[in-house]
Amino acid sequence: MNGKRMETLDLIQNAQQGDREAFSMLFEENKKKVFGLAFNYTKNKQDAEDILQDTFIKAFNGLDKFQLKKHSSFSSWLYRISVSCSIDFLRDKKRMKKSLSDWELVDRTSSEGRNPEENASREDLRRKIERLVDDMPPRQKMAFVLKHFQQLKIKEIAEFMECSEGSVKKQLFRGVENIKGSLKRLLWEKDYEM
Amino acid sequence: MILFLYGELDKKSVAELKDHIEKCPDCAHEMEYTGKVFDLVEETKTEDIPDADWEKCWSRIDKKVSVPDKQRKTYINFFPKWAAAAAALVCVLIIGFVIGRTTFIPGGGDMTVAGESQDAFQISLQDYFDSLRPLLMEYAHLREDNGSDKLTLDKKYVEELLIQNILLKRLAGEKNPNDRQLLEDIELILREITNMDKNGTSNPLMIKEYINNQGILNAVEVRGMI
Repeated sequence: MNGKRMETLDLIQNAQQGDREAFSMLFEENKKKVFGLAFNYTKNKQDAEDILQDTFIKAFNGLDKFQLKKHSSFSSWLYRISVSCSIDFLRDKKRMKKSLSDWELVDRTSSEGRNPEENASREDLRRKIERLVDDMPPRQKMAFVLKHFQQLKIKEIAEFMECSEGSVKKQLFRGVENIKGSLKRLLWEKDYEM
Repeated sequence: MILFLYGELDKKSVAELKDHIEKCPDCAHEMEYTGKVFDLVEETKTEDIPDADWEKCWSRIDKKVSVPDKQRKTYINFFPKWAAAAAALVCVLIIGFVIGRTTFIPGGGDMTVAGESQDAFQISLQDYFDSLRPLLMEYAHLREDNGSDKLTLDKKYVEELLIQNILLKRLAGEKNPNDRQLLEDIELILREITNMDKNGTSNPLMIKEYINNQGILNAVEVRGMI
């Protein structure tokens, strides 16, 4: 057991006793990793900050349930909470968006693919992909973000999302197929060669 | 093909896939197209993650974390699970009764948790999730080739969980919208399971799919920590 790990263990034990100073140091150690995931997931600084806060509040309140025997490390335990908070956050946001759209007509007119004369640029395609990823169901989006933007292995994604590897593969497959299908239509419409 | 591009195929499958692609122009084209799409996805990745307002974030976290909540939770762990579940059920009934007698306006209003009852509600919810988790895990990790006959279900136990769920959902009211939504999702599952026992018409794999797609097990796990 190296010094750094020992130090983290001490911090966890102290934080478990209610020592907020120790917890603030754990926050310092892990804040960037958690925020990075939340930002890649939401593409929004404010939302990512909200997820960061939710994650650490839940982590603090659940500290007495953290056992090193059961979890590979504190940061991966925290990451798992962060994944769950991010999914919950997006679910709530989508639900709110849906209930708002029940009341008002949302202007969904966009520039994409409307004018056949317009040439699609690589930038158009990137924007389209961002939009498609943003519209994915929360869990599918999380699997996609963890794979493509956080470069995790499917096994790790399954661990963080608490589901089987098969389920992760299914989510990734659906996400990629959706993007491929939508881009194919766009490329066919615009006769664009990548 | 996607797994190949992720670099997550075993050597044998890689060799088989390469062999096939050499002979099949359609698959070769599809592979090339998928690779290009992956490149575009890669380009959408945000390389520079901005800095959060760390001080503001920490001060909000620091304000919200409270020591008394932590201390209260620790002694619950001394009880065995069945005792905690029974205590939770009794607790829910008592809280329901007290709230009904003190804050429920006859003829209107919603039954919601107020003041100190909120703490009791949170404890009951945690204990309920502790009891529920094994059942959800059984479904969430059900193998696709398994049928409902491979599930060992105690119908009475599931019905008890359903009753607890309904009571907790009512107690969650409008003040705990996230809990209420989660409990609504769980209620759907429990009803599906009890229906399946009666008619045999429901599909356990559908329940599994619902649990996994909605992230219910994950939500229960994290919510149970609070």
